[in-house]
Amino acid sequence: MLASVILAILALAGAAFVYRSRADIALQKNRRVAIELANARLEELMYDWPLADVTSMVGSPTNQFLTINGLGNYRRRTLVYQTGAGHDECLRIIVRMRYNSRSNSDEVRFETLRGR
Amino acid sequence: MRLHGIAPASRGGVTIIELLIAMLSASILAITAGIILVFCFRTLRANGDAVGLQRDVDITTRTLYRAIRTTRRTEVSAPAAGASGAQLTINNRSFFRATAAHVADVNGAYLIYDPNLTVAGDEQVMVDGSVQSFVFRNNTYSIGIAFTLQEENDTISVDTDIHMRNEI
Repeated sequence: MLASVILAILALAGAAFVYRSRADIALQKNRRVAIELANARLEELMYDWPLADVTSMVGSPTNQFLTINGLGNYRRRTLVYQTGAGHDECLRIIVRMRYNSRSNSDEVRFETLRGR
Repeated sequence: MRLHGIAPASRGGVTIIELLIAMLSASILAITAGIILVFCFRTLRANGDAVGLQRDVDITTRTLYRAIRTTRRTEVSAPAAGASGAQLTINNRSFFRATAAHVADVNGAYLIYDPNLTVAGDEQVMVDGSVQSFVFRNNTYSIGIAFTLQEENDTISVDTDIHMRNEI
């Protein structure tokens, strides 16, 4: 009886470990897509948008809600800051893309500078 | 009294009830272990599929990013500007969705990279059999790529635009 209980505990622990690995890999898949979505936003702001339009976003964070792999409602937040004279008056663009519906702190963060 | 030299009170063995209970317990244990094993193997297989898909996405995006970023728009012959298709041709290099025979075919499940269209037999398989859809969009100064890869247990979709850095 004792041996059976020990065996059952070990088996359940093993199953829980495997299940956890599944969840981690699924989250990694979301993160992989989030990287592409954040990069797409940066490319858009760097190359598609006129500088004046990007400049107008200074001080006004923009939120977009996107699906990842057909699921969820994940926030993509864009922030634009005016840098100082020490940075040649560039625009600092930050894109933060969430990918975990259970944790708001899990996000991809990309940052770049756009010159005038 | 002794019966064939053994006292009845000290006779060993188990009763039929004890045997049935032991068999029942063993059966429950075996079934439970079996269910857990099946679950574990299914999960491991699904993990393998998911990791394989992420590897394919990584290879595909890295290769396409490098190719498109170093391209000029005049070098893109397919799809035409403003159009979309399952084939991207840059000079004599081509990326396309293909059948197992590697013939360009929008219904195929392979993503093939042909580094030189004038040379036969040098094609490379970038995604092997899991492509559900693959579309290139020629936005003149950028190329949009939208694709979905699917294995039995998993699906991953990517949709992004890559700009030609030599044109900006």
